[in-house]
Amino acid sequence: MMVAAFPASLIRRLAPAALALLLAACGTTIDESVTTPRTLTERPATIRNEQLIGKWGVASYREEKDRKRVEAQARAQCRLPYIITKGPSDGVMMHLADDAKLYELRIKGGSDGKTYLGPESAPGEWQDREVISITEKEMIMRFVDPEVHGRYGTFIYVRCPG
Amino acid sequence: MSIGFRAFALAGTFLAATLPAFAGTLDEVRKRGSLACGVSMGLLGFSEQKPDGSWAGFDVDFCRALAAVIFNDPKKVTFQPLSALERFDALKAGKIDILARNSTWTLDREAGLGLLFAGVSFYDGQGFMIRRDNKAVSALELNRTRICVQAGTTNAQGASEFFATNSITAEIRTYPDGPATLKGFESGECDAMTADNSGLFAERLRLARSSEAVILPDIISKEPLGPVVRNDDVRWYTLVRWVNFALINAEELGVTSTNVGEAQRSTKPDVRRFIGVEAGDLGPKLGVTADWAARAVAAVGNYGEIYERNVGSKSRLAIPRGLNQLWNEGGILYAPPIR
Amino acid sequence: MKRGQPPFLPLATLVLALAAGPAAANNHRQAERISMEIGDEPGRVATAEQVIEEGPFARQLVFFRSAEPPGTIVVHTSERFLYVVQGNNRALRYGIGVGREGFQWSGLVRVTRKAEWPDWTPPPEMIARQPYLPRFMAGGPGNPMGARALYLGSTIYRIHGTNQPETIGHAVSSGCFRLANGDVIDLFERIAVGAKVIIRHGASI
Repeated sequence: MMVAAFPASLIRRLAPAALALLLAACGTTIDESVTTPRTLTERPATIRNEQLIGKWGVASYREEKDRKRVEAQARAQCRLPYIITKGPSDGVMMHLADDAKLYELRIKGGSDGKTYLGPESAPGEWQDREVISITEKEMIMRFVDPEVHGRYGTFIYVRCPG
Repeated sequence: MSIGFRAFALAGTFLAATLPAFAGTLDEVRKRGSLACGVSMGLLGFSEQKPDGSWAGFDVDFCRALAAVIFNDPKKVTFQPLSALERFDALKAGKIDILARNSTWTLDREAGLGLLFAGVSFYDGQGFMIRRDNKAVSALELNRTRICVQAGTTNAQGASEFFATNSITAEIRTYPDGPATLKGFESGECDAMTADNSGLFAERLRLARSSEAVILPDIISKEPLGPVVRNDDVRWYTLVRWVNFALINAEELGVTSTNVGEAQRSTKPDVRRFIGVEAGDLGPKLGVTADWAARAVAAVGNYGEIYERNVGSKSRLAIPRGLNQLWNEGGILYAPPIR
Repeated sequence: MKRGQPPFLPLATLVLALAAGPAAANNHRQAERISMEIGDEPGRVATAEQVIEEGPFARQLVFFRSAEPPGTIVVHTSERFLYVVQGNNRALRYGIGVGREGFQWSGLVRVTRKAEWPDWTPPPEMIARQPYLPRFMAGGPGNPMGARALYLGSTIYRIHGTNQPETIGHAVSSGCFRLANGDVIDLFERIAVGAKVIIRHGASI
């Protein structure tokens, strides 16, 4: 399998990111909990690749009231699981937003105390996902890019049996 | 009475001038190498001259289709812009071979002027434009309203007859010309404006906020528009008539400018006859080639394509198909079959 | 397929269309298809009230001869319009986005269910094409299903809203008919469960 070290979609992704920053500078409100400063330095991650590898039922939601329901839906989606495998280097094979190609993504600890998952770059980059929580049975993530997060919502991954 | 007499006298004058030594329009057009097509002097969507001198529009495309049938080249047309006053004289005098200029088909124009309408290419008629906040959905709801209309047009008469018939009390306010009528409507002097439907869509574009005006679906008069020829050449008349029918039939059959090549391999008898791969003698009976209809569609598309491009949903005018939809799709367009 | 039968997803044609990709069709159409090949991705968030106000795809009352009873929906895919028959030779016309070529079905169905802010379960063949999609997305403003959905027969087809109103007038969705969110809310209020839906295309050669 081809592993693209530098995702082609990066440039496309940078434009809205830059725009969002500009808007922020003009005082437009952006959901603070999602917007991440881009000056994070990397710290050792508390999550291991092995915790991500396997088959997952995936569903997404936007409002907290839908969360329980969506969790059950994610479990039901094991018929069509999302499969995360080990990458050739030090990462796991997953997709970025809006891109059907697989990339090797790396777990990155951020100096803000959060954990990120994304291409080889500083933690909290615009293509990254933030890992909100992870247990053996379930993980919750969202895209760092507020525009992408707005479209996809928050992802729940429920580990499929077997 | 006097109008009828004048028309008759006029017709007589031109009859004498054009009748003798007539070889047949199709032959003359062929010899000349181009079709002489009379169009209006500039009417949004119907005939417009672009800055580079070329012509475009619904009426223009009809002549291009006819040229494609004759020459297999839609560019072999000379367009002659004509005013409403001079259009029929120009046709009678042989300055043009065909008039494709939003002219209404009436008895007097055929019997009185010695012309023939080759069919209807656009069903127009008087309609109403109201403000969006009016909420009326029918012209029958125009009771106790003020109506703007251009003075001296048939529309003023048409509106008062319609209101009388339907026991509607409306105040008809007349204005000297089109722009003044529109201004009256836009400034709120009137609740509605009436004109021929195609004209209303054009006028609406001139409003500062066109989305705030709505054109009602009611059509209260008959204004069938179509290509006109002289009545002294039945062969030419028949060809023009069937080019119009062919464009309508093409839409009904699903033959388009993009699939007309592929249609050669169709297994449907209707399509095969249309293309000329079957019943190939039909074209020659009209004095043209077997692939005559396919040539027309390849050049300008079928009726639906011509409509949408020039006056319909792919144009600024965005006039709904309405009456000008096929008979089996909600409208009244109905062409006899090609067989 | 016979008229009146519950239509099935034409899987074969669908897979074919995917496999053929942009190679088929003529250049003109192809260009349009490529530029609009955005699929049912979670798109830009449209406000719930968004309606098309101007141009041909604005909701409007039009002349429409029909023998169908008022309240019947007639979808004309090649025109990109949806008509709600009003009686007295008129219909309310909405601009729609329609399925890509090859996804298209025609015939008579009925509205079997209506839903507000429907959840979205992308069909498996869409997951195959866009594997990064969640397998289920709770209803909401960013959801490609938009503000309302009318479910058609027992099929996977539906008339729904969209978070991408700029796709109205184009062929992009997978067999569904999409309206701007404000327009689908308007339609939703007018149409009862059990209403007839007639789906038509232009003739084919």
